[in-house]
Amino acid sequence: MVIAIFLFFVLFVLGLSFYLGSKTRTSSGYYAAGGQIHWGVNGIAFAGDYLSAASFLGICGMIATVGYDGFLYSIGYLAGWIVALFVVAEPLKRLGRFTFTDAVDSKYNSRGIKLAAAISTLVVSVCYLIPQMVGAGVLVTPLLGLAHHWGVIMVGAIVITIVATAGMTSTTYVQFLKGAMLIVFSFALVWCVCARGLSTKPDQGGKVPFYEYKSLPASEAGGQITVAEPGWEVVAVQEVPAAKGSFAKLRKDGVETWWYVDHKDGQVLLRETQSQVTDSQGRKFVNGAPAGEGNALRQVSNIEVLRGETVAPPGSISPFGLLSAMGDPNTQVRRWKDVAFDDETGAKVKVFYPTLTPGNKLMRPGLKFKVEGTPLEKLDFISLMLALFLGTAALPHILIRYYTVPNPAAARKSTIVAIAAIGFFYILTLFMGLGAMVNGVLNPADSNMAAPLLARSFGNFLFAVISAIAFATVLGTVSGLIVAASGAVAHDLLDRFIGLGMGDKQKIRAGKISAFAIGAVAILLGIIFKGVNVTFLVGLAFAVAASANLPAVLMLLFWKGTTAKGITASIFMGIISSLGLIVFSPDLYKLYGLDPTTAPIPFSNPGIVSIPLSLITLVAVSLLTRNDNSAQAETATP
Amino acid sequence: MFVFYSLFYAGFVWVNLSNPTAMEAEWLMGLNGATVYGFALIIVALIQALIYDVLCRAREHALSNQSRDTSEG
Repeated sequence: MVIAIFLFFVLFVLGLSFYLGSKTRTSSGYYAAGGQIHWGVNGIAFAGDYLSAASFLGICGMIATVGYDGFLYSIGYLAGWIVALFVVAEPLKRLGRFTFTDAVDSKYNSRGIKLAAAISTLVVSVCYLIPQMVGAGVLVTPLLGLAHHWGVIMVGAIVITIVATAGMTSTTYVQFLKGAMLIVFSFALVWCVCARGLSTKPDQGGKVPFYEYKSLPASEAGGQITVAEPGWEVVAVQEVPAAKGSFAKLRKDGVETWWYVDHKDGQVLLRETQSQVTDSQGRKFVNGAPAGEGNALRQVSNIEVLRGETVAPPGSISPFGLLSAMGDPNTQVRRWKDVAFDDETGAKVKVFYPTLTPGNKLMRPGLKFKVEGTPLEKLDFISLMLALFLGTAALPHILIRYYTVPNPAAARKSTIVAIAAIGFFYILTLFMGLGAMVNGVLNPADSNMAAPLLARSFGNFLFAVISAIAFATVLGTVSGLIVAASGAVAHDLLDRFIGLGMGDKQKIRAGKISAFAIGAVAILLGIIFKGVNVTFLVGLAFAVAASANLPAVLMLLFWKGTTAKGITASIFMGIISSLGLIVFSPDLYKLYGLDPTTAPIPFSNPGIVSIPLSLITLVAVSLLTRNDNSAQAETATP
Repeated sequence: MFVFYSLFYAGFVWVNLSNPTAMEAEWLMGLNGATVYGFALIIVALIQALIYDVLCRAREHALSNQSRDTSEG
């Protein structure tokens, strides 16, 4: 049934695309849906565009693993719409025609702006495409049993088909349907979470028995650990600075497992963990046994103590009651962390180990973003919040949606519909994330599947629908991004920058060829970035967008002294500085497999540096080239 | 309205950095400060958007009446 529902969704989306594609005749139809979409439909389509894989999979996954810090993304993403509504929605609709480049170049007709804005659109779209493709790969593995890369290739192929058949019209209606269904079924999922209530021994509605992790008493003398219980042999003890502790490899009945060495009140306690090991011959083991279909990591995460009680009262709980119980200082949640190291035989070991977190720490910022840390860590938090606030109004695939409605008033109204829909959904993300955290459904190796796995704990129907919607989410968002990026190549670069002077049909053909090429790049990157939290990746895309595009849009609208060269320099400075800071940041060093403390840039979110730098560049270059504006004014005067 | 919301948002960041434990305390109906402030940022955004729309509609209405009067006059 799961596969049937999933296939129905995909075929429906493709059918809709082919139907609408048969009606698309002009380049305006292809790139901007003819500018005739109703504001209500466009508003929900905005929500569909915006509630991407990052919002649905990534935020829920991050809340499920680090609590409130994941919800910061929800707050920041929504707050960004205020910038879009009050600052850019209506002016942008007046200035542009098809693309972001049209808008920023409307006053100048500058080749420099065309090139810079088109490159910026491409860079931001590709940065945003990566997490969507990663999300696609994550979804198909439990759903269809396919490997990650097949999921990415499948999404790429379907999306290229959608974009190449109908462009913005089909993208809009796919997003409208998906956005509406996402909100409805997410609400249903939250209702199920509250109806089930909280438990200290979650068993997924009786489907998966709760697993009690063992603790073994041990003693330590002369650096040697001995297990008190007979039958256990200590093979090795590994000091792991990243975990601020050590792990012991134990052998029993020929099976080797890893245990966390816990020193408490002069006693040594070995706590059971989960592990993935790849030995020197390339053989893979999970929890000591060969990895395979019957042996995968156990799903984890649960409440250990609820308001001081180790046994939770049965029955449903109200939404506020759930949040209140989770934030109680006497509630303890067993979260799971992971750490990787090489053992004494040279095998690659990844250990997943539990840690208890009190509710009051879980339900406020601090577990991921160190608000009580060093000044640099605090700066990283400010930088993230700044980029989230300013990034929305600078995302090309969101900006082009302002061209699908007939007038500025419709642009404003559709933004308001979007704020209502997106705001409601983001409130739901907190409940879905916490639901996944307390129901023992998390895959410790990949947080991105939190929401679909939570749905599966309520039955296959909800799982199939939620997964299909999540897949459609990826399809819709990737379609929108590819339309934006192909518009940048075909309309901005080929037609307007190079000046090929293409006709309507040639423009559409160029857009479709570009869509194919960009889709191929997206597939490749989606495979490379496997396993990285998708919300984190989107946060970086927001930072690039806010740095490269927003200063140009704002100053164009509100400062008469802005020159074409100022905008061009600002866009290039924004792209180079934000990407440069990201590439050499601690989080990316971790991704490369390097020690993050050796990263030359001490923070991971570049916005606090790159956004002001881009703005200062614009002002400085505009002041230096202000004669350009006077010359332009003189030329314009009859 | 934009300045008000920006300050409200900046206030959230500032409280988290200057007094993070204040976000742990119960603020309203059993909910802690972080939850109440976070939800408020979402709800206030919607309320402001609706107020903005009402103001814009009133202005658009006035402008369309003005242009009709001018064309009739």
